[in-house]
Amino acid sequence: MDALWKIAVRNVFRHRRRTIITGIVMMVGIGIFILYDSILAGLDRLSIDTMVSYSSSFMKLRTPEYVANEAGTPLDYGIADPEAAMATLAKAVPALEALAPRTLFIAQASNYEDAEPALSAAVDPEADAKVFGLASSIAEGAWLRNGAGREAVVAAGLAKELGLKLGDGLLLSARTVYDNENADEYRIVGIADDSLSLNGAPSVYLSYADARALLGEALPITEIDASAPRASSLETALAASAKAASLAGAALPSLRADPLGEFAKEYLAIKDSKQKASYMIVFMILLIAAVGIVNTILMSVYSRVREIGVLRAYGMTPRDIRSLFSREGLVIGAIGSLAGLVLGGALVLWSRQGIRLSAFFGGIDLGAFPMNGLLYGEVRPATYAVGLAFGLLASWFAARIPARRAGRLDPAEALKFV
Amino acid sequence: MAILQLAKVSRSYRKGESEVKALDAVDLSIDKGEFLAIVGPSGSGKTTMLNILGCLDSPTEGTIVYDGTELHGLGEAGLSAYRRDRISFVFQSYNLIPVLTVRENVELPLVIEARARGRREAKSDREIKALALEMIEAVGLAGKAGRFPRELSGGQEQRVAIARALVKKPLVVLADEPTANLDSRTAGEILDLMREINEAMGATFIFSTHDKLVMERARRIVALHDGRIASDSGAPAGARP
Ligand SMILES: Nc1ncnc2c1ncn2[C@@H]1O[C@H](COP(=O)(O)OP(=O)(O)OP(=O)(O)O)[C@@H](O)[C@H]1O
Ligand SMILES: [Mg+2]
Repeated sequence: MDALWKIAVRNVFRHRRRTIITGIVMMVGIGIFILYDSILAGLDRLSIDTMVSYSSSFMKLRTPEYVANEAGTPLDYGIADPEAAMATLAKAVPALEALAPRTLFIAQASNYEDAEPALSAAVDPEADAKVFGLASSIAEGAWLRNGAGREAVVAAGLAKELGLKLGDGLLLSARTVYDNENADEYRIVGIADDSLSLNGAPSVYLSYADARALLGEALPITEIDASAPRASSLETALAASAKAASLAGAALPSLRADPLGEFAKEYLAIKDSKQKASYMIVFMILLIAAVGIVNTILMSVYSRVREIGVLRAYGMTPRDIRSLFSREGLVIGAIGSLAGLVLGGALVLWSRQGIRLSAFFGGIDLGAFPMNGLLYGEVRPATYAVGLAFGLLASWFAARIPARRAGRLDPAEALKFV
Repeated sequence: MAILQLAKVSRSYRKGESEVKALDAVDLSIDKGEFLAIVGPSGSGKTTMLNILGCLDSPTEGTIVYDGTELHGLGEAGLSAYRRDRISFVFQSYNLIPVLTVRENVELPLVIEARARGRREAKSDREIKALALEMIEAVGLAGKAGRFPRELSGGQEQRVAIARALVKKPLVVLADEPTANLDSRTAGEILDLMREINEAMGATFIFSTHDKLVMERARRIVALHDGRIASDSGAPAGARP
């Protein structure tokens, strides 16, 4: 091994205490950065997953006319031959797992006293359960069954607002395909997770049979939703969805296929600013660690002034001396950073068991997240590389400051130093 | 032939308004293979003289000619290189590198030399190791090569320092009060060792001392007083031409 490395490494291990203290600051900093980044990515994933699982699905097929008037959930722009479209889709886009039709409409939901406008969906209960996460997020009661008749599932938020409980009657009135008003009563068979009313997902669900009875036999299917196996990361999910949408668009040119990225646009825009905040954290912590390293190396320089004189007397240049102390800083930084990666990895591993959001955030309304959901930290190898690189760079730059001072020492003066 | 010639060398330090002349117009000529003691009371300029001879410091006036080379104007890098190639030091407080073993300490001058030379011209690690072990044996520490300095006595540490000084076969070995931290018996042994090596290897030794016993072993004594040469016993006939 190079003599400078040897001297640097041995000095780091000789002064174990200050190495450990500086190293711990570094370790904790990088560990927290990795965990924070992982949780942040996990939250992103969770909110996108929630969106996919309750409203957008992996990919959504609609007519271009429907999309243009989307806000009014019109019943005039249905998909011409949904059965054929689904068959074509299944063949053309192998990445898709399951397909389900839906028709959204606005209804007045009432408990016979008060009424609330509610985004509602006509669904095929069996197919819908394969594409969307509703069936598995029923808090009370059960999901819709085919052919049962006059049953509804409502979101917990709406049920609460109208004071409705499981088994109660729900009065729905809506504009039919024939453009007149119609109303009917449904029994609430299931109350679904609260998050449904929070992220643009419908809050009332009826089977197509019931919906046709209410809105007219000619009720069209206005969208086809698709699901795919869960990807390893958000980035791969977005890419896979974009690819699926372009394949679908090519196979069904009269329809418009929107990938999930299209629905997550606004969310993804805020995500970048959150990322910046995580870099601010690592910057602050590394600043503290860097101050520690400056201090430690300065101590090292002052306790070895005469040694510096000896090395200079034997012909080492100021550059060699600078390099000697920079390496010492780098070694401490490397120890701290590697320990930080281990700590970060352990924390992420712990978070992979699932963190109950309610345990963390108590009663705070998290908007887009299901409160009873579990948050899983994401494993992001790039974060570890960034953490290590930041740690090494910060310690090297920090060590340069005292190292330069060491290089400037006059050898004759240094040798006199006691 | 003189390997070292000082002509009218002065070194002054500014202390506020006044100026201290640590060396005052010193003329001195030293031959190859000399074993020379610089003596004088505290503050007489011994350390200043050795620092200038060792290229650790430059005179404010006068010239030094080293082995035919005029040192004036060599600059920081040039002086570093000059020290590296021809001059070695032995210090009063030994100054071994505490984190290096005896062998690694002795290897250090050769390693520094190898770092400065290109890979092709440098000695190999094996050569360096062999030279260091040879030198460790020569100072009577065979078997202690793997020890760390803290495991040695003061006399042993100074022997390692002498091995470190001689391993690169320097032109001149400079020692500022090399025995001041040792008891008189050990001091005598160290002086005997230096003298042995001086005779066997022909290395030039210049050392400063306060100690009468040490002076007795020198072959030439230069006495300083207030930065001037007060007396010089002269180059002995035995010094090599
Ligand atoms: N860096 C310095 N700044 C100012 N004055 C100095 C400096 N170094 C040496 N001197 C002065 O130069 C003179 C000679 O000092 P030097 O150290 O050479 O003496 P010395 O003979 O080695 O003394 P000692 O036996 O105590 O080691 C002294 O008066 C000292 O105060
Ligand atoms: Mg002195």
